Amino acid sequence: MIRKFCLLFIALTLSGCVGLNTVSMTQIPKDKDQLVEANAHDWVFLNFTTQNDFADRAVDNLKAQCVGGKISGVFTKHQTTSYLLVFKREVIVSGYCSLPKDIM
Amino acid sequence: MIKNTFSTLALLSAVLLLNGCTSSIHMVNTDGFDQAIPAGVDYKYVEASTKQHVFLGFAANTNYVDDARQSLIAQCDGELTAVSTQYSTDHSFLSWYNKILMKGVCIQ
Repeated sequence: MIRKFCLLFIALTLSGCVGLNTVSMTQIPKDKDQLVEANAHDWVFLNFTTQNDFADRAVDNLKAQCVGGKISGVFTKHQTTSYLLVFKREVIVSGYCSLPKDIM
Repeated sequence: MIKNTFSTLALLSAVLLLNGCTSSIHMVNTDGFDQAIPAGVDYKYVEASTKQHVFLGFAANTNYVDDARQSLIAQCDGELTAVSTQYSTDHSFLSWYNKILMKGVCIQ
């Protein structure tokens, strides 16, 4: 009985249900040469948290992949995966990097 | 009398739940109005929508959102402006549909 309970508890702990929070997309350029992608996440226990810095990390990571260029067609997805007592908050961003001709 | 009223309410609730007649919109985002459509240039309105069936709250991914994006981009060889994104949910009995609707103006 205890073994079954433990197995059920482990299964519930490891399986998560994902839900979409927000999604947005900006103007998409004609030239879609270089797609850059970044994501960041953090773990929250029982929904207690004091910061949202992970979202900034995703944006910084995206910008770092297109230094000197312009990113357009930015697609942003914010989702939360709910586990038994823990939540995974995640921001996924992607866009098209357009570099100046002299850099290329 | 009370029994009849209760039966009517229960029947109405069941019909409403089974028909999935409730719907909610979570967010709408628009962007990309900095590009004016030049006169004499070909343009067309493009639209893509995808949905995800969720039963009892169990959902493994949000890939339907990416599918909507890919579908919208695939319809436009040129520049895609005035992009609007709408996220909504249609409720049904013990389950619901998450829906994404994306629209834009494709300038050739």
